Amino acid sequence: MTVVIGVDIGNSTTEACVAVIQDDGKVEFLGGALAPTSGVKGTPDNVKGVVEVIRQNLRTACRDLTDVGLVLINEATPVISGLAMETITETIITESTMIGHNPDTPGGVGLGVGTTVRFRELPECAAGTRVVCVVTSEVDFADAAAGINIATRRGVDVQGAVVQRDDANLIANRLDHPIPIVDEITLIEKIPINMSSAVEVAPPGHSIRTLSNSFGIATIFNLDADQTRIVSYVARALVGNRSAVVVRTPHGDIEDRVIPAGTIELSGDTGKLHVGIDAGASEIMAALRRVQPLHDASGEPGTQVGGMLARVRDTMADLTGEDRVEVRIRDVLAVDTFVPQEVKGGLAGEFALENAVALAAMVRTNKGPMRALAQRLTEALDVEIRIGGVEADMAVLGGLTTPGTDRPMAVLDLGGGSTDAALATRDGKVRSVHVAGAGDLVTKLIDSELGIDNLEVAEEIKKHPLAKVESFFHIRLEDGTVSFYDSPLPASIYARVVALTENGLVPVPTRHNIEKVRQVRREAKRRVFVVNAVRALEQVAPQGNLRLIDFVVVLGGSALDFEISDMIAEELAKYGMVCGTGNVRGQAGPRSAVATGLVAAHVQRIRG
Amino acid sequence: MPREAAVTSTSADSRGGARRPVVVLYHHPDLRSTQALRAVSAGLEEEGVLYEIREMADPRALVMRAAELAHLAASESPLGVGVALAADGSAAVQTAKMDPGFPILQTQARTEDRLSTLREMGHDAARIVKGLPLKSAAKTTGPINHLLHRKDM
Repeated sequence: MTVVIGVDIGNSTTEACVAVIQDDGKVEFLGGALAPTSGVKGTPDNVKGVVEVIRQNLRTACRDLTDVGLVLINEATPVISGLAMETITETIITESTMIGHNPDTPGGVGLGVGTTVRFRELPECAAGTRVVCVVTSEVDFADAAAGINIATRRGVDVQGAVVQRDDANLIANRLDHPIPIVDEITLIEKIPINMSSAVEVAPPGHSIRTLSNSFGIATIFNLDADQTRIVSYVARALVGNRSAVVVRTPHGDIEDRVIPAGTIELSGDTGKLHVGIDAGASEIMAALRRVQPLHDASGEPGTQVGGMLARVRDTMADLTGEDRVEVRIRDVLAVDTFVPQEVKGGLAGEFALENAVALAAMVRTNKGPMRALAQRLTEALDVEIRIGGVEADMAVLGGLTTPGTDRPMAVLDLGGGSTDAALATRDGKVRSVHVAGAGDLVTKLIDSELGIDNLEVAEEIKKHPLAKVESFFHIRLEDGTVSFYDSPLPASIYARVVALTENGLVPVPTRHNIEKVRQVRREAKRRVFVVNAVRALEQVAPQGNLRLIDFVVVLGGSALDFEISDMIAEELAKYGMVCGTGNVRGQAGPRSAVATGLVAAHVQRIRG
Repeated sequence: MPREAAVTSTSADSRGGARRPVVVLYHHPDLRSTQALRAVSAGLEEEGVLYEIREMADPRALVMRAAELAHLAASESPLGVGVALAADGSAAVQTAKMDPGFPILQTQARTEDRLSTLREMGHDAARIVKGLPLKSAAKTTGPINHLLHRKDM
């Protein structure tokens, strides 16, 4: 009888499983354990994590280190991945021409057109002039209303107002004649005075009609075709707002600049291809398919993509200690995305949705350090360490312990950095592939598309269902069910969208509603995991034909996700595959496949 | 002259008659600062929620702290939301269904930029009615984890 431990060192977690092998070759598994991986996988830094996980596992299995005859580690997948995201468009307003923001409570309704005038200069306006009044924060709302009323009675045609404080309704309620008022203009002092301008506030439940229409703006300001072309960017940026202000300055200019995004050069087996990043993700992925397998990718120097790939290369060189010219990018996943970015030159913190491309890149690493790691582990544990097999083969063996599976079977390992696929054919051969892009990219997409700027929160949104806090005592989950609480919920999360985590409710820092947040979350997962599942399986399937695979077992940390496996299963069902989340050893779920596979492979070897 | 969205009334005529959907704003009779009352009601008005200002005349209520007074106001509000300004200038926001001792929001008498805090309380009382995230909560950024007992239905 010997006690063996299979240890799988992954990108983010190290997993172990303890087994007792009887002399007759029967195996009894004594459970598994997991701990965070210390350092970059496949390097001697991993020792700490491995020792930790083994200790933990032996404790739960009630065994001692001295009982252990053999520790099996895997030949770690020699890939690591990096991420980069870059906006390729940029909205810049020079000489401030537009204010398009959605204060919670604009005042009045309608469209007002006139010359901008400071509130304190209102008494100097001649009767009959059409003006838009600019009210700064030191003016009290009652004084502002009184001043506008006096001016109106004198015959000044006050058409609208822009207000620095959150006072729009307070002023509107005190006017003899209601006018549209837009408030919460933070940088009001930057509004050019004595220029023609337009203020529009839509009725509740509507969005503005005139200022979001290029020809509407052209009509107001008598623009010719060329000027209208320039102003179309303003109109586009204002679509969907409940209120807006547009000021026309003589040299006013708004630019929707396309940043030189550059081209990416993909060199593979069948030659080299250049693709412009601005062609979009689908073009890049199509080009990649034509040159596959990829030998290296590089970006045009001095452009966004050049910078992105150089950064990935630098990070990889740092992590692996290799020379950066030796780093070869072996796969990329391009995803179209958009990033809400503050408009340069805006006056009220306006945001514009800029187009962006996210790239996940994967590099192959040197296999050398594995021996060094085994050596260090032997010293640390004083137990025989053996490199038990290649990760993909082991994952298949572990995956096959899932009840109801048989060859030809593919495993999909959904990790943090890469998505791996391996196919076990009937004759026992295993083909495997690693593609770039997995859980980390999903987190990044959620983070940037919702403008959260906090990866920890984005991670919570990725992993958990959402809910809306509907009262101090109940929340409504995204599927419509309601949960009640015994004690009142804190005011800070009242009416907010929250993620339902094990540790309680984590508020999502966004003004988006729950449906929008949910849509962003699911789309991010679909664009990374569903796309990668198909892409990876195509590369291992016989003749690239997905219909020739019978079973697909989904494994890895991201397989624990509450919806990713279902999304993949739904897609793969189209190809007639039976796809589901793995249940390693009939009990460990999608975890511990490689560790289990290591033990299984060892047993096969002793049995001969 | 100002066509206010709000109704200012004495407690006598407001108790009877049709119950309009108002947030009730109670204040102590000794309350000197009309500025404070104005700030709270401006917040409510800007959010477009109707409110009613009532002077607390009941001698038993005169000793109440802002928290309890706010609960009393909430219990008289058809919307179930009340605001109170106590004699010392402290203020609180509460809903009818909550424990009187634990107001949703409260502020001490002497704080810097007191008027803007009171204005914000007016906004937030209205936002509770409207089911919108509170203005005061916008300052709390990042994850706040609350361990709570949950009962699923």
